[in-house]
Amino acid sequence: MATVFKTFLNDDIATTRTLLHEAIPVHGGIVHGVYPEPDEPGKQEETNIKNYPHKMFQSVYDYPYLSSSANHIFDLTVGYAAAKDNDEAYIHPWTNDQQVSHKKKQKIYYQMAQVLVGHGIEGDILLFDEDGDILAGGDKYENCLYISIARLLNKDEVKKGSFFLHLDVGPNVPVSQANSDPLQSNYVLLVTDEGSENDYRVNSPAGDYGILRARTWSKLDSNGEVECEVPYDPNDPDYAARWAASSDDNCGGVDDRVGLIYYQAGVIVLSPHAFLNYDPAESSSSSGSGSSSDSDSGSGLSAIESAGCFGKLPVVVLNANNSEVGCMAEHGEFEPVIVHDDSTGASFHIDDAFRELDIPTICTGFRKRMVRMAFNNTTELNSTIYFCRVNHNDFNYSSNPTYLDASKIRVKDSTVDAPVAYITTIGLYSADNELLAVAKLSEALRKDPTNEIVLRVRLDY
Amino acid sequence: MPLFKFGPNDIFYNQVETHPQNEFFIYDRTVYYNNRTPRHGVMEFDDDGLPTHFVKHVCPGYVSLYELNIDRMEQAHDVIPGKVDQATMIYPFITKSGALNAFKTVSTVDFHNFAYGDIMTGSYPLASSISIERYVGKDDAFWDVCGKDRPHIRALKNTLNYHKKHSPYYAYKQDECGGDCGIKYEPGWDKETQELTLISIPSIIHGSGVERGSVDLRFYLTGSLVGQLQDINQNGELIQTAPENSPGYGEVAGVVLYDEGFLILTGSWSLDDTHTERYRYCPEPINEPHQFDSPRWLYWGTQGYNEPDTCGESADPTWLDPTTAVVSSSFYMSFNSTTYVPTITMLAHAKKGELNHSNNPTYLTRQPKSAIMDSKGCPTGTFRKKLDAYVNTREYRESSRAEIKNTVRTPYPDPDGIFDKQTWISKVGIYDENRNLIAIAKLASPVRKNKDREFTFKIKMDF
Repeated sequence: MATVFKTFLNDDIATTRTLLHEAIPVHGGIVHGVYPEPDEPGKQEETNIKNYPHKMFQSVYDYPYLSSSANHIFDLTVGYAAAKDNDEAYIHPWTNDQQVSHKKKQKIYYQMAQVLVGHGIEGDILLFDEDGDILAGGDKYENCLYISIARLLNKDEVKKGSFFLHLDVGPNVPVSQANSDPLQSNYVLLVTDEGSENDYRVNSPAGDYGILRARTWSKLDSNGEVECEVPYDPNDPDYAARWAASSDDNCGGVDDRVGLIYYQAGVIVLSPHAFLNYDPAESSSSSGSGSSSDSDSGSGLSAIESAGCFGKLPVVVLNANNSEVGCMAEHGEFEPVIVHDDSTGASFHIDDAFRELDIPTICTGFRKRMVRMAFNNTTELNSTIYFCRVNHNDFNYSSNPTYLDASKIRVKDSTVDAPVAYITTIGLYSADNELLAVAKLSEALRKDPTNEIVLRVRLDY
Repeated sequence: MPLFKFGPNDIFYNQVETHPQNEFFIYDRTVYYNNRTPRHGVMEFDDDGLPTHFVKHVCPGYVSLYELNIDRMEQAHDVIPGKVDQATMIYPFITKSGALNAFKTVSTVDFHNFAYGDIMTGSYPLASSISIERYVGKDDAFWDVCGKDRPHIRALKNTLNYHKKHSPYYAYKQDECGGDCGIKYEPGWDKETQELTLISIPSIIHGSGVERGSVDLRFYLTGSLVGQLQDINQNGELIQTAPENSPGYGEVAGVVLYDEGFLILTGSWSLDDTHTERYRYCPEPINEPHQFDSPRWLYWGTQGYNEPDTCGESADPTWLDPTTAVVSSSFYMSFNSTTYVPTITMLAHAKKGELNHSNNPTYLTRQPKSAIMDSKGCPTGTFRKKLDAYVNTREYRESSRAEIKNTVRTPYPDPDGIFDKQTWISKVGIYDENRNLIAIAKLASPVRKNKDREFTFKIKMDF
């Protein structure tokens, strides 16, 4: 029990904040391939994918979700804006299920937009904006894929600039990426928010958000090794030269924005534009719903190369005859990759998939396109640091009973000896002298009138 | 929606004391915690097609702290952002900053060697299990190797002596009992030099302590119980209570430090003279005749050495032949840990005459325009537009024709009952002082509330 108290002054208390991060890699094999799909007969107990009767989203776990060991990783869902009501492509002789699904997709879009983008001055729900500059207008994301990261992994927020998503943008139906096998995909696109550490938006009710951009487009060999890689770098002189050498006007003004990432909410809003439209030029029958595409991918690569699209977003734009190869000029002028519906065996381009398929099926198709995802989460550790200053004339005596021996100070033999004490513990008291916390030293500190000590006591919470 | 403040007697802060049971069973070099069998992952296999890791990436008998890494590949540690086909374990990291925070595993010297902005990484999983340390006595030939250096015992000296008030068997040295302990015990011990076994239970398992009197230790030989220790007096003494009339029956074979989570076994009598096994495994290698001995409490938890164990830690191949594993003995320990769960109990009152009205649209008979959002009436024409644009004046007006639905039940199918305002309470929302909804309590079934009825909802929240 202390008998001497020192009051903290303003300069003696400081608050700090430490950011603890965790690197969270999500290998594509977890998302698709290692564990059975939920619709696989007799394997329902072993799947790590959870579909719900309401068919509004799909949950992904890192282990069969019926096991108590499983952790929820993220949810997947899709949505689009009500503008589709006026789109002829969406005026369709739908079945009742498709009509219900159509409404659900719209509701999901607006629910997400309401939370993440907020309301306009008239109370209307704002749409996802490509560049985050809502007042300036500009293009909106009206079709969206959502990845909602579980709070368990997201913690306080995703670390800005740490998000990486590799997408399989090849022309073929993805093959299971099981275990540690090499990637089965040939064409992989890197989507990232790099640079968002210093360039993020704050005009969302859900916190900060960044712009996701398509960065590196890779072609992989049969062993999954990168065979060639095309970094997107407008400042690269070679890149600029290639860009200038291109005679195709469509190659100008490529926009690499493919989505948004909301850091505190842990939601990734991905445009179908992220699927970089790899489609071999020779594949003249690859557009439209229900079609399949498994043409020779090598010829498509050379076609893209000859069109001068390396260094840009390698997008194939088909003309009316489905024969011309070019680069994407604006969003919407592309032929997206396919989503394969395992239940029917049919393949869909992603625009068609959005329109025709229910949400879990689209999510499954999207999931199979996820090669790898990685991000760093953040946990804020708040600390208060108390600087306990022991002046030369402080705490040189002790009220401990062992300090005295036969009513004589044990450590003093004569009156000229300096008093000595050993500090072992610091007590932090409230204003009304209640002991709130105790800090112990790993070894006792000798204190006498010849020395001064500053003890730094940190309280984390 | 009405909001009510909690009164001074409406909120109680409490804590629930829980005692979950923990069981350890040790057999054939495997520790089973709470009867869980080790499961292998399916994410990665070796060249022979065998799984390379357990699902939780911890050895059997271990508890993983966060359980974040479940069935992952253990290929590499650091994540390389641009690399496509790379899967690693989840791991924590801190960037060194002015806050001077670091992981506890980073030493002071290492910390100072990091520059500001450098990244300090840790590893998951953080795992823990019981540990068993055996020390030979001073008279043993291997005292210098396996007995002399016992810092963990020495660190418990003050704690052991503190608990002498519960039992003299806690005394670090017999002399410190003062020679007047009042009961019979083997004189002359000194935990600094005597042969003993220390069993340490980590706090992730025992929580705030081991429940007094709950420890149960058993020693099995080929499946038959040859000894059982229990603290039947709840004073920390582990007394042999079974089998009846067995060697050492009724004797004290050790003590338990309940608050700290330690067991110290000192019982050195033979539990079965007819059986010997390779319990003594000091020094290494162990194929020595002196390593055979009869089962004793000192050997509780001995697993021996043999083949590479199931956690991949290979033993020295020279130990493989003959087998040196303790395969005829198995060991069991159970105890109740103590954990405290802080709880808040809130009493939400629905008093008479209150909460009899709802803003739910279904509360009204008719839907159309029961509420209108419109510009105020006075200005018209261009002036009104300007006013709208610059002043943004709006008003909320409830339709005068809105009619409350009569939901009073009658025994007759057609006529309505006498009108009475009533609602059904289905949820209670808890708000903070800034009116942020922070919790919702849902009722199993809605309760009917009219002006004559009153309810108190007891809401309990655990942390």
